[in-house]
Amino acid sequence: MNLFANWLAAPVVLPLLFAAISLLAATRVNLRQIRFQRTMALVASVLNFAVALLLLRTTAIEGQRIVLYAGAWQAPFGITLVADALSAIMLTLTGLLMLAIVVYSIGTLDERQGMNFFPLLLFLLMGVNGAFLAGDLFNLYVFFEVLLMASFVLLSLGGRPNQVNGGLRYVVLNLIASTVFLTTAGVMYGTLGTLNLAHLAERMALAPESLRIVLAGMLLVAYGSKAGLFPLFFWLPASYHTPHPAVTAIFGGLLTKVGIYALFRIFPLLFPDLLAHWQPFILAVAALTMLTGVFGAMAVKTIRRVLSFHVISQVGYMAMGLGLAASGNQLAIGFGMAAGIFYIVHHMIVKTALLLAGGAAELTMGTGKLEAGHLGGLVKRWPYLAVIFFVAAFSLAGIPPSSGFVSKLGLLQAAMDSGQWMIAGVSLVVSLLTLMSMVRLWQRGFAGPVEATTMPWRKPQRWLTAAPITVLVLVSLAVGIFSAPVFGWAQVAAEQVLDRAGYIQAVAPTDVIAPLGAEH
Amino acid sequence: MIALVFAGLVAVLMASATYLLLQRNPVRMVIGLGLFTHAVNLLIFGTGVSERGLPPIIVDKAAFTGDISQFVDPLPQALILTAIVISFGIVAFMIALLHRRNSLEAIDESCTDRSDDPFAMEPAHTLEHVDEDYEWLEDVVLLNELNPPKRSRR
Repeated sequence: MNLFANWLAAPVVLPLLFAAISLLAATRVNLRQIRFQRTMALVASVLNFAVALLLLRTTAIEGQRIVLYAGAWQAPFGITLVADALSAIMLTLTGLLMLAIVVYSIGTLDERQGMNFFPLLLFLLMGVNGAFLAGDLFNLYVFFEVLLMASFVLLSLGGRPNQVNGGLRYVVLNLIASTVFLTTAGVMYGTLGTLNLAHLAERMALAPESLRIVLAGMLLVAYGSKAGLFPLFFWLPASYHTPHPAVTAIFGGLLTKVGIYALFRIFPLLFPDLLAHWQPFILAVAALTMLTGVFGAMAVKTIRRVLSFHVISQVGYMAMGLGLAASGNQLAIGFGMAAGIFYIVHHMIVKTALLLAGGAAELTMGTGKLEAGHLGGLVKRWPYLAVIFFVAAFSLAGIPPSSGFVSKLGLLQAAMDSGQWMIAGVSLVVSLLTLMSMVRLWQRGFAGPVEATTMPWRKPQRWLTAAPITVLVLVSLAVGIFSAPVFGWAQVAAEQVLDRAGYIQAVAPTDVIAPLGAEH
Repeated sequence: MIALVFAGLVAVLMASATYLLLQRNPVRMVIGLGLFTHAVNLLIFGTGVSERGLPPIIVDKAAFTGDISQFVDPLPQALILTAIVISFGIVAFMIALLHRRNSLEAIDESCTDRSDDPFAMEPAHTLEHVDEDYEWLEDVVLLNELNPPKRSRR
């Protein structure tokens, strides 16, 4: 047995272990306890990032799949963890973002640091990592719930009125989506007799088409509402602006992308024929998601609400990548998927950087309202923050040489190659509207004279706040300038995701139950 | 036969849950969510049951011939156990949130109109009112203690 596969357990076990240890210190709220929890979170996220890089090297660069059979149980019977290039890319991004968020929250978080914020962050990390590694449908559900549970508490931590209101919406809609997901898992087990993804992929051809359509539709609803796709996104703008900026940033960067990851993983593997049949539908949903997101962003009036709506519009681009994965043109298949994955890479980094910078602006000015007399003039008050916000905003809008430009170019080319002119046009229009929205943010929030007369917040420790944003912006620029190797990894990931036979072969599920006591 | 009973029960639970979820009263909504998760648990349980009274273990291992109709599949039961714990936790958290909301409401006298939205306190149309977004910036207790400015330390 390959001992290297045991590293797969680390992204799940490490955060859990460190969270449990730091909860031991939670008996009293004092400075020593908070410092202990901070150190624990910092150590855990550094270790997690290191393990993720290790996995990235093995999968994305060497092109392998790593499979861990927990407890050495054969594939369909035990818990299986699988990492391929897509999982490793997501794990690495998660590790990077978590590191940035921990540093940022040490710099900016208020009394909520004393409410077990850092252990909750680690539980969130565990859930997200687990969802990226899960090799069967039920564990995917469990890890979804772990991350949702942590996110519920993080969202309402502090219990202010608007947090409670936003939190209730978030909990109800996500619980319904999860229950739909669980129903699908139950029906799948009842009809196909397995939950292991590779085993399901083998057996899915046995199911009648009507059943496959029902299952795929229910999964699309469940994951789509987690990802914030068009008709199901209402929980997101209702809640994302309410918690502390650090929490908003990690949610905006990570959570919807877990839903997108699940779509990218499940649909090519289990329903490749439906992915092709439903291409017009998926592309229509993607286009509507982009448009509603960007129009919503133009209508709202605070900096974090604008950025939350942009999360939705950007999710549309990723769904566009999924839709293009099922192109009739053989050349464009892998390319559309790869462009979608590259877009996820770009988006997670830039969106988190933007939300962090927007949060820092709010903290500095004491308000985030984009109206006269509130936010404004940050160029003069904190020029450095204004500069990095500017770079991140223009990367989001897709101005060369940023990563946003390269990723949008990739999607556009994939759309052109497969002859999808409509979606290409919509994505261009939305890109332009995003640019307009970013310019509006810049004009209202950063340019102009200093208008706010009061500043109730003492300036946060500036380097702790600015350093993680700077790192993320620099990584984003590097992804844009040295896009060839990163796009190469995305292509490896796309090929692995679309290669069903390879996945089944790597996991190697068996139908034979070894008789009890056979090995003696 | 037993499958039909299960199907009917799941259908009734689902229907009641949907009805309750569409109500305006948040407490009914919570009950609806509880019923919804129960319906799904029952559905999964139904996939493993073929006959009444069978145990999920092989009673006589020596006489077992590999005929799976002699016992009940234990896996759905294990799945439900996990699902019950998860949904219980979430519903408990929701009730805590509702309690918090009600206690906040008791403090804040200005909450009157929430006819449009079951969760809205005041104001009802949260997209329009952005003032309360920044309440949290007004009371900062611990941060300055945690991150003392360097100058004051010297």
